[in-house]
Amino acid sequence: MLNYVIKRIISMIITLLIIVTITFILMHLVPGGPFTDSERALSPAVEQALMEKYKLNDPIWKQYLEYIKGIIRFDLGPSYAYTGRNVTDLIKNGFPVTAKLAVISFVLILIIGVPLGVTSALQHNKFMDRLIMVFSTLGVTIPKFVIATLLLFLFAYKLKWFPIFGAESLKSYILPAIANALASIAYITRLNRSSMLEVLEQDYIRTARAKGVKGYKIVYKHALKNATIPTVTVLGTQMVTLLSGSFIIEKIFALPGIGRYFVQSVSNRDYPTIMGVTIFFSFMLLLMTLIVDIAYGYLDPRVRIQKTSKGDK
Amino acid sequence: MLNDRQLNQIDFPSDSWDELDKDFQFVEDEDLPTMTYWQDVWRRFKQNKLSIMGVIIIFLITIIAIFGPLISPYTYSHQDLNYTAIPPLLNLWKIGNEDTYIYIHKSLRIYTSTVKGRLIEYIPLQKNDLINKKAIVVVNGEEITIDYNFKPFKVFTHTGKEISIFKKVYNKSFIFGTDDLGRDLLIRVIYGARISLIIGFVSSLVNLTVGILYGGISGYLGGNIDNFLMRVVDIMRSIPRLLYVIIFMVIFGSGMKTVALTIGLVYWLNMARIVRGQVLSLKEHEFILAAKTIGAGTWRILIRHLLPNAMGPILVVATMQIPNAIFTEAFLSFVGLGVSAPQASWGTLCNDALAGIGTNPYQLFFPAMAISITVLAFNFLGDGLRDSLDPRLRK
Amino acid sequence: MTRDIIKVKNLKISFFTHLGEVQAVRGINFHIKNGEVLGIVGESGSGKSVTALSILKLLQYPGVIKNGEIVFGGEDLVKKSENEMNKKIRGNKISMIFQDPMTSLNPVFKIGDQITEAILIHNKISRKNARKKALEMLELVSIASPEIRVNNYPHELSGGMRQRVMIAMALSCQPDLLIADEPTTALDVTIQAQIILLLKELQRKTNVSILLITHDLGVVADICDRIIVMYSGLLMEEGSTRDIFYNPLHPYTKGLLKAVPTPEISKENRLLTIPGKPPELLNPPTGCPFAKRCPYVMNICTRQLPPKFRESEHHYTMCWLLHPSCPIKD
Repeated sequence: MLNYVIKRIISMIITLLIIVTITFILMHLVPGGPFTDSERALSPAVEQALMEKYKLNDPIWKQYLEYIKGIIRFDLGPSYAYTGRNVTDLIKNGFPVTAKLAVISFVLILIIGVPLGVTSALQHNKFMDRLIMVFSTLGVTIPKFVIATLLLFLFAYKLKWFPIFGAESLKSYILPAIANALASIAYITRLNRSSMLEVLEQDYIRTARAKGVKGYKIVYKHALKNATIPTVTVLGTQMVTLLSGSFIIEKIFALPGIGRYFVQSVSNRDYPTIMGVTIFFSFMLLLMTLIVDIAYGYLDPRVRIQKTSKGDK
Repeated sequence: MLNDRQLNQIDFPSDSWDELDKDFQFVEDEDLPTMTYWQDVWRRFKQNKLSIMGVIIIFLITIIAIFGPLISPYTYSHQDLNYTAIPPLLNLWKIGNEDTYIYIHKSLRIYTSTVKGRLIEYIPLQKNDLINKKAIVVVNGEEITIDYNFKPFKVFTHTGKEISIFKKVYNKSFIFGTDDLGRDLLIRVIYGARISLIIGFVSSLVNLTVGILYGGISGYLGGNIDNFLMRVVDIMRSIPRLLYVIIFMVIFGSGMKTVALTIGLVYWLNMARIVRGQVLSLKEHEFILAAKTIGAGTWRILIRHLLPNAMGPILVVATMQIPNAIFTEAFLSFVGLGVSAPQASWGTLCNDALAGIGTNPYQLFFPAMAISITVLAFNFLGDGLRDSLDPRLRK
Repeated sequence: MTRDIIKVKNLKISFFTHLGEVQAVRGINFHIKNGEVLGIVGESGSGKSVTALSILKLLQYPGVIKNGEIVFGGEDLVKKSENEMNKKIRGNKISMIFQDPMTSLNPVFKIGDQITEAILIHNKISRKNARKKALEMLELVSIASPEIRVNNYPHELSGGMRQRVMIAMALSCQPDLLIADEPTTALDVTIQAQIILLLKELQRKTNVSILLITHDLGVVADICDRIIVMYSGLLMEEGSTRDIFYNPLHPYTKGLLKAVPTPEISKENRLLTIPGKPPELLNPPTGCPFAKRCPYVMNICTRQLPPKFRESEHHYTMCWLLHPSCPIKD
């Protein structure tokens, strides 16, 4: 197992390096420098000074090496828009908020999506199943920002149950997390339903029944573990959905997270921030995928063995 | 169980023990008529009512998107600042004894209207007493006082008699109302359908092309090349692709074409994997071997045998890409990278309406509904396709 | 010794599908004596597996027991509640093993835990003792180094080993009756023989009655005391193994035996030498279901279902050829 983890970490570092390189190249493909913006016309002298300050006149390979060196020191360079601030600082500032939002959304997905899917499967083709399916279908068809706005309007403006903006208390995260997680909840519900239905048809469930295992125990002991395996495999991609969604959610609910900085940096053409946030998010996702894969190994012994035997070679 | 005595008592017809009559017809088990693969797919697809509904909705939306703008009296960019933010539901007051009706907008703009809710003209205020919050307007020679201390406003005739709201009617001039620049929302939603659908279809097509080429080559060549190409896909899968859509948009600038191309170019990974998987599994199939033994060339095998068999899953992924693209475009609009004004996609329409959600919720309602219905329709279609194309997946 | 352990009376099972009622089992009677091995032979769709599942009431909708009694230990199992079945019967008094050992064990639990679970459900003993018992059971089914194997997951074992585990699990509560539904079909020929040998040996050791369901006459010849031949949801012939093999009465049984020239059969040529296929059970024919494929078919065969004729004390068949008026004699 350890071998496997080490191997995965090495491949993760290589992947990250490739991502950094591609992102760096892409950001330097932008026609014109970051300061040739028609709206903020700068005098050539000022522009030159800025270019000098941010070392943009250096040859590109030198800039690249500097950037890599910076990353190793967790330094993602200065922000162009927030003068005097470092991209790393922006991320440090925003990360707790974004992480809290993601974690709460994630928990919501698990504690709502999985049980709903299981209930739906157990009530297959009955009223409850139909009802859950209707909601989960609607959940994936309404754009996130519409859901977010409606929740904000209804529960914060009209009913005043929740604060309209800010991230002071846990309460401020409830609406954003619901808005962010809804589509994923719907997706996980559907996935769990179909995998549960499939598992309940399996031979080993019949074996358990023949042993005299009680009905509810068959579901919670014998079926659930097998049925959640597909769910675990998609948790990684759901994490992507949640993080991407946090851009919108943070903007609508005015949460001071990384996503909001990113959206602002896009409109400000703040390239170091765009680049830094992209790399940071990629890193987070790679880490998530690794964790999910290890968890998957623990859930499904078939995978675990393959990995260790591969690692031993 | 009968004993011999009981059996002997049963009276059997005399021919009972003869060999079976030659003309005896056994009841034949009904054999299902043989169908080709696509006939079978169509049969299964037809049974799925939701997917049929999806197809009909998509068809209708496409028709409206193509022909709607030709019929409408407005254009998507026509602004009339006298007609800003008019809702789809109007309160009418009846003035005098004649059939004169007025609609009073909450920003104190007065319009005459037909009884059915067709706005006739905008009537500027005669006098506005800001201190007492009273406005005077002359309609058909009749002087009317509007007291806007109250909400809803109170309306009085020149004799001081209060007129109550005559009735609530649907806005016949602007069925979906107008936006904050006085543009007809209906035509903008219809026009948005054009943009959103084009983005959906084009990006799906781009996705299809890149995915089939990449996956097909990878699967067909196999070996180290396949390993390498799939490793690249794995790496690309593990990065937040939406961020790269954004980076591309920053590089290439916003606009409908870039949106469609970028989304197509970034989301082909699933398609490539599926095509590759299909090609790999089909390569091992006996019918391919059979085709090879009778001397069919590589291209012939690819076109005649591989593609039709791999078509099912490819079609499903391509279908699902369309709503995905519509969503992504809406997201980009939200970040300010969508199509540029005065063009409007459903995403930009929603985004424009977000700020005014408290005062003009209808502006969000219609484009959001349009997105939801379309995405729902494509989901139904995709589900139906998957179920009917691959009977193994059916449960 | 000659006490009946189970008695099935006029059992009818139907599947209610969207096309209509499929009569999978159309009124069958049989019994199993204490310590006896009874084989049910038939091709797929003959209703043999459904019969086996219905004894443990494991049939799931749309399959329904329409009629009949299953008398076990003086009680009718058909009338028993789900709860009673779980507590007293399933895995305790009657246990079952299935066709495909590859899929019949839960992939996410260690095999030791799966056996222990069966023991703990029906016995009030500590987990530690249950585990000891599980080890004993693995030893009983001749699994080498059981103390290592208990900690294995199913996928780490071969097909034959997994079937041994299934048998160990099934016998872990000393059942009175073991139902084996095609226990060797999914296995290699050499493994098949080993499993049958094991069943035979365990039967001798524990005196458990066995209901062995198979389409493979080679399997039943080795181990069964008596054999039932099923076709199209009906019991075509019933007799001792000797009767069935040396004095088959029903043309279908004869056909089966012809299809199996030696007890060592291979999978390819099992039942394929009887031309045609069984009738659809959606609308079963009025006469004998085998009439269409029968070389001796007479007019009466298509008109009326034959009754059960008795050839000897324990040998019965459902065929008009046995009628005293029938002119054809072998």
